[in-house]
Amino acid sequence: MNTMRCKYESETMRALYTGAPSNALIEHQKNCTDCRETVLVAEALRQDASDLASRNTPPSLAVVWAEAERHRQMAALARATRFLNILKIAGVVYGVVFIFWALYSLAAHGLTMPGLDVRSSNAVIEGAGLAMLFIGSGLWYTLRRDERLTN
Amino acid sequence: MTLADSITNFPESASHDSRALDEAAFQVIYDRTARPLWAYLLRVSGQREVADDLLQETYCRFLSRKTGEQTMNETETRSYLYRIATNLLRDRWRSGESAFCDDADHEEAVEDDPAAKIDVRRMMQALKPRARQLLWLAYVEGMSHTEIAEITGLSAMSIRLLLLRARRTAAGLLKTR
Repeated sequence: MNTMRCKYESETMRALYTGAPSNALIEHQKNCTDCRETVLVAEALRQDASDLASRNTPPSLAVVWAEAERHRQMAALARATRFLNILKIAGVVYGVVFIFWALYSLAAHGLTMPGLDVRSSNAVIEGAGLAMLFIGSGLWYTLRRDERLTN
Repeated sequence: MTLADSITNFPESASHDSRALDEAAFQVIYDRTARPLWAYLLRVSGQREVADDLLQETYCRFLSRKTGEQTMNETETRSYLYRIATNLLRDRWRSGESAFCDDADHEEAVEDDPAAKIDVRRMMQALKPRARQLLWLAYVEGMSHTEIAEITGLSAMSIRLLLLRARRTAAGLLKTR
């Protein structure tokens, strides 16, 4: 494909907007395929744009403004609750750290359960702790997902 | 109030009075830019609902821009709005929605030249979304290659080549009517 652009193409476009092509340009267009195509496509599209503009109306300003206000309010709410979200995440991190610390402490103090030796008791406590962690995280994820779906 | 005045006097404020001023300023911008922008979205997306949604989203993003970005003249505002709209269109395509579902209901009955009108729609339908964008921006909005490059994020050289291809394809489609 020849990718060289005709040097009169810009002038042709300008003439389309002003509606006053010079005689030299008209003569040139007779022999230039690029410029003829430009005129053909540009005129068709501009006619189409004009038809669209005359027959259809975009959403009203009130609708767009109301939507923008809603976006602003949501953004403001998100900003306001950002600190709470940070606190929530910090709470989860604290909970996880606390569980591991508690397990470590119990194991260090040699807590035993009835009918079990120290090692088995530690394994049971660790297993229970991890089960609580997984159940908690699963519930948290499920509740968050439900919240997103209802929104 | 001119468009430039509206943009310059467009401070964000929580007070009711300045909000009213904001809305008045926005009305000037909206009245001058909404119709051509909506036509662009409609022809490129091919669906009225999508065009309506994206127009709203475009102005929402325009209104929520940061304070430091508020000093814009008329040309910059127009360019900025088209850039937002173009990015939103691209996001739609990437999210897997149909690129061009010809929505026959979105236009009223054609009075003048139905054949020509249908041909333009079919021609647009046959083109790739990128080609539709470029043709519209260049030939309807009269933007330069540099302006189109800023809006689409492509290089001016690429625009030249893509536009040439798009124009040839479009002309070929129009000639076969």
